Amino acid sequence: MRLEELEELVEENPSEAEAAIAELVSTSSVGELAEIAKSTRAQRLAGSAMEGLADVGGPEATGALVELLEQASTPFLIGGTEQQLDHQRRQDRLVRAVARARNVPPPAGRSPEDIEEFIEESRRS
Amino acid sequence: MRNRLARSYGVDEGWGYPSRRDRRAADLFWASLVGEPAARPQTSFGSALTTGSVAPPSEAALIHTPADEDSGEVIDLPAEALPAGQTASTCDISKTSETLDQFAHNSSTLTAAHPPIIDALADCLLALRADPRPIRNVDIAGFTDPTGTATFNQGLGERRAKAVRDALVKALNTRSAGSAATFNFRLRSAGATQQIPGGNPGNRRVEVSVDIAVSDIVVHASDTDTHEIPSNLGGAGLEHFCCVKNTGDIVLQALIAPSIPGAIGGRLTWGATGTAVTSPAVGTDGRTAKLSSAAAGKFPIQLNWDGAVVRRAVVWVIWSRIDVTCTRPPTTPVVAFAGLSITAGIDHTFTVDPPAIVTDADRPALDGPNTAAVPGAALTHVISGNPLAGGAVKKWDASRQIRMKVLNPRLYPVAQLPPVAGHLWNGQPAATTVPENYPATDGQGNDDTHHCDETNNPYEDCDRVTALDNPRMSMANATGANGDTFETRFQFREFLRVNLGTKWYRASDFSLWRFHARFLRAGGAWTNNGSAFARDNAGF
Repeated sequence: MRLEELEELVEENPSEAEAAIAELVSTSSVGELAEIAKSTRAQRLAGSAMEGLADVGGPEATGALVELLEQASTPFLIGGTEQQLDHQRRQDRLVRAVARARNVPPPAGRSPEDIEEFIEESRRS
Repeated sequence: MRNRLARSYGVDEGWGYPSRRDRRAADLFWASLVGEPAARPQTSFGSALTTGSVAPPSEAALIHTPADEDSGEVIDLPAEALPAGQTASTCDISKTSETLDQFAHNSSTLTAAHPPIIDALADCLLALRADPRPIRNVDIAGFTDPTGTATFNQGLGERRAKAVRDALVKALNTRSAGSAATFNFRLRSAGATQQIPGGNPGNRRVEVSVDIAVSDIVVHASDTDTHEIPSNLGGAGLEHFCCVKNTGDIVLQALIAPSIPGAIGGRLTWGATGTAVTSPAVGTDGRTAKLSSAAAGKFPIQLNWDGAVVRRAVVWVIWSRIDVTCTRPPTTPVVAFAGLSITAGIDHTFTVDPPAIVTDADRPALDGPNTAAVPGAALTHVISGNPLAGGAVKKWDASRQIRMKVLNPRLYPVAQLPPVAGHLWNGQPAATTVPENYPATDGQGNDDTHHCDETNNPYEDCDRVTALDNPRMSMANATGANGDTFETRFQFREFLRVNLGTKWYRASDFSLWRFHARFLRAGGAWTNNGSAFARDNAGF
């Protein structure tokens, strides 16, 4: 299923979209899940893909999540409050997904230093 | 069309009554109560149907005078002189009652003149049955002249009513098998207790009528901006009609069953508290009424039938006051990157007017999730690329419109500008671009993809909805050379919107503000070059 189709599905029939994600999880399709989490503008879908990667777990899924977290860990540079909150929310969700994929507790803080340290630790694991 | 009309008009009695034998074939039901003489005495049914409340016709309007009674002459009414809206048919459903008179003395046998009336009655009843709110009850009352004892006359009236009922049942079933069973025939006798002018033959009569019931108030089809919103109390609450300010007239319509507009006359009247109500609002249709939407408020309305209140409802004209509660002039926050960020901010509060729409115990159910996608739902945000569809989840929603201008005199390519997912850098590199302008659609918030920075719940927040925004723009020191400038002009219009039925409406004035982020490259880094913040939309 193409990304655009999945985005339409998540608007029109969220349960079917969830089922599609679940299918990708069941087949451990890390590449597809990572692409969805990275590229979609549908935040609900992105969140599901991140959770899906966490469900898959293991080094490959963790690596994909860490890469996404690294991309999301840049400072917030442009936009309004909504975009800033989006930025923070995506970062936080990825931190928790990485922690779940690794089966470790998420870091207590969310400062740039906290997240940087968590990324490094995740890469080494 | 009453192509042959004959009517007497007793001046002393102040009401008219058809008396010609041959009028019956054409003038089947009573004339529409529009134009019927006033002060007609209550007839046997006690039904409002038979009481006119409009002015007597002028002499010129009379079809003929009492002198005509004796002449036996039938007057053909020219088609062009017929009341508007009446059409040529033996079934004139603008009437709600018919009289079969001239029974023989002491007799309940139908006369030779009665079958055509019965046939036409059957046609009309079947036609009325097709109404969305079909009639069920048909009242049939028998009368006698004053001769004889009261007991005898009571029985004779009953027999006459039954004779008409039986003939009507037969006529109905002949036209449509079993159709008579769909009506409830309510028979009664008034004996000789209700005499009418014109002599005994006219009093030896049966009157057949149908009920009119005011069943509902609805928004008239011509008004697409007023919406009936269910009460938060469900069926126990009043009917509520909502619109926002300055959306034209609020046009309402009473639904009567059966829908016989001409039968209303002046008997259906509208009342309103706090504003004027005008009826008719559409043509001469007395079922319609209009109110102005020029001022916000709560306007209780009522429908009266023959002066008695039969329906109450509330019209709400919605707007809100908008206040700026906090402003944050441009500053340069500390951000962990090699460059400069400039930010500014503003907070708004919307106070819903009238407050009663939020606080009344019985109010329109405008709390909870919205029922329509926001305007421009499929469009995306200029910076984030997120769809505008996410801008609202409730029926009240603080929203914002944005327009942006980018001044890039050194023509930096997109790769040297802050990364965005939206269309902000469309057209770059260019000295000047306007990647986003204000939407033409009222109520569309093109800077509103979330509700996380809004409260949107006036029910738990003292009639208020709040919103805040802290736009930020950044430039990386890796871009440009000393002396370069770069500017982004963000201009905004804040507003409250409300979801009524299937539409969204702007429910406040716009609150204008702007943030012009101006950068100057000096000493190897970007500096704040007099960034501007103001509560206007100047200098775009």
